[in-house]
Amino acid sequence: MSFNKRPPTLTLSSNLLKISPEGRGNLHKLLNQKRFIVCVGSGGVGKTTISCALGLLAAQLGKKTLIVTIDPAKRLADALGISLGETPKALPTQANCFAMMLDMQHAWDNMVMRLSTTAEMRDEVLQNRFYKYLSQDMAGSQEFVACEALYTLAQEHDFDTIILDTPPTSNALDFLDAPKKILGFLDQQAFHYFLQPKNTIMGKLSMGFLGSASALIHNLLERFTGKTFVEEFIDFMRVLRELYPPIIARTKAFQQLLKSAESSFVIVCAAKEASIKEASIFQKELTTREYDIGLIICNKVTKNLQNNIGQENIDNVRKSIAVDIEKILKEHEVNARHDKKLINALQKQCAQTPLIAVPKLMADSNENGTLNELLRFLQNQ
Amino acid sequence: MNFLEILDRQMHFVCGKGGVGKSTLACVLADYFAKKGERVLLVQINATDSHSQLFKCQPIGPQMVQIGPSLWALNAEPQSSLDEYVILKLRSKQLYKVLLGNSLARSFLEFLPSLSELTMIGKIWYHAKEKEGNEAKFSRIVVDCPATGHGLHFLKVAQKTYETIKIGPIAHEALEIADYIKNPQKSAVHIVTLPEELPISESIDLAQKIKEEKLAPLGFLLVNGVLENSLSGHKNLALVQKKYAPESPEHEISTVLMQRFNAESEQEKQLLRLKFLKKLMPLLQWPLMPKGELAHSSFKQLSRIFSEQVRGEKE
Repeated sequence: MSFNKRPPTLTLSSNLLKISPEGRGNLHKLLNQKRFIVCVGSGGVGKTTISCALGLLAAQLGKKTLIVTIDPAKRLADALGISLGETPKALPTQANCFAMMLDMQHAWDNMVMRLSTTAEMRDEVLQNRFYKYLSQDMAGSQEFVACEALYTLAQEHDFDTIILDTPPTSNALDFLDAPKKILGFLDQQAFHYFLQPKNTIMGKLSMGFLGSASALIHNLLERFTGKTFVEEFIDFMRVLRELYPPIIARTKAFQQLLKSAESSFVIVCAAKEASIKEASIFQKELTTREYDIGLIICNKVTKNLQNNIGQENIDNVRKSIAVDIEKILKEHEVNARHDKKLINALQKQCAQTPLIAVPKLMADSNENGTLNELLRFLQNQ
Repeated sequence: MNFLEILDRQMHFVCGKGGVGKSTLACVLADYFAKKGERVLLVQINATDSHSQLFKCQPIGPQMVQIGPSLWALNAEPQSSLDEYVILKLRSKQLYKVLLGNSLARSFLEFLPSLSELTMIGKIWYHAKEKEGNEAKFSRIVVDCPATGHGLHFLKVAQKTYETIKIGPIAHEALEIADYIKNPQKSAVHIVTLPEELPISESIDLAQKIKEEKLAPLGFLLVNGVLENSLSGHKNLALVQKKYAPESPEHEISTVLMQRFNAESEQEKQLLRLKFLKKLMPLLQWPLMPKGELAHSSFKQLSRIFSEQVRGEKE
């Protein structure tokens, strides 16, 4: 008997099963109509799993699909049947479907390499200690480079659909604000002071960049950090200046992409107070800025029981299982009631956006079981 | 490592992912110390204020306010912290205006490796050093750190700044702050987690990084939201379910039971992963509070539970 170490775990065929009589729902509409789908939401809500499920469903609809994950748990990779790399890899378990993982640092480095006109410029940036800060620590840098990567992938490949999973930002608005923050940093009026090359007299008088109070300001800054540091900063700004126009152009291009008719956002949240509140805020922000929101998906919702449970029913089950069934059912009911309130509130606040409430799944301990169950549920949406 | 010994330090950092109960622990700790008669400062770091609803007080901003007989609170803000710091260093509001009026100079200051975060932790340290007569003004300071990624970053910022800049007044202060945070007599980092895969992975990761990089002494580990074990040992649930017709009430009941069983099993599995971490940090567990309960009410219950747990250790 032959047994794969990692047997294919997805049991669904490429035929779409049991389409509901009313026809395809909002999810299908989204997957059919949009080329670029960006999943946003805080960490821990199941965003990566949802992104994968959306990708698999798109592939089942016949689209050549790429799933781009940012921070997958290893077991998700197992569920997909591959080890994720930094370039698209075909999934053994689903035709038409590819997946890859985005490494933030490499994405920044690749962008710098692509946009630098000389090897010298490229190296100067990559080795500068401020570059480390810009690419790793500065607020918005992860989100910025995720967008840029999406744009590059769209240009370089011929996928029908790309699903982008996003970093688990604690403030979902970081994602929208990121390009502005990075550009804001680069966009200095005083940049034109750097028109002078380094080793000219004017260049040496780079103190001039600080305007008329220059000597004083230079002195003040040095009091904080020392002379060398200020000079290194000036050098970094000078180098960046060369990259600035292509970075701006690229940023404008991907902002346009995200606003185009081909793109849509999916907001993922969980059935918890804080997560729901954030989803609502984010929906408002996206709408105000005229981005399209295809769906809100609320995960791990406890749903009310379908049946009326009587004492008799409980007693029947109690015969086989000697536990405090009433207590467990009561807790379930409290949770279901609470979740319903949350979902209703969210639906009301975000009336223009379709909402899917994904029930708490059975196979919660098993990632590939979860993915299958999730797919089964979403197929009917 | 004894629980009481850990509590007997001036500075307490509370770290963890967003949504695990980090703020709740910070507030419970602050409340516990205040009730013992310590003079306590409770700090949020550039947060959407979540503490005021637990203490039922006015929203807490960058201005320090007294929220209890022995309890002060503040929500440190990067911009005002930076402004305060620059004025303090330049000793002149005029000079400050010159500097921050220049857009490039301002962006330089903003760009310095996390200068604004440094000024926030600097502000906390300033309060730690403050004296009233011969004694420290605040005998306990509880810091509700930013959610995990940023939490580690926040703990590191002083060290990193010193290593980057190396000379000058900022570097010098950064070193002093880093040394203070490292001091096992003065400081402890507590980690809050849930009995779930990702939070546990992140907590283990966080603790290891803190230990390896010698950033700060580890305190205790709190696992929040623990389900009571009602169904352990009942492995026959699936078999039981098969006896009933798929749409029947009994079938549905057993589905709920199976979901509960899965949740409890998963929890057990995750708690086992803490085996190694438990050797480094004493473990506390808090029960899952019923959904929909008011935050203030859960807070009161958890405060009571925490006091009992501490008292329990005493014996």
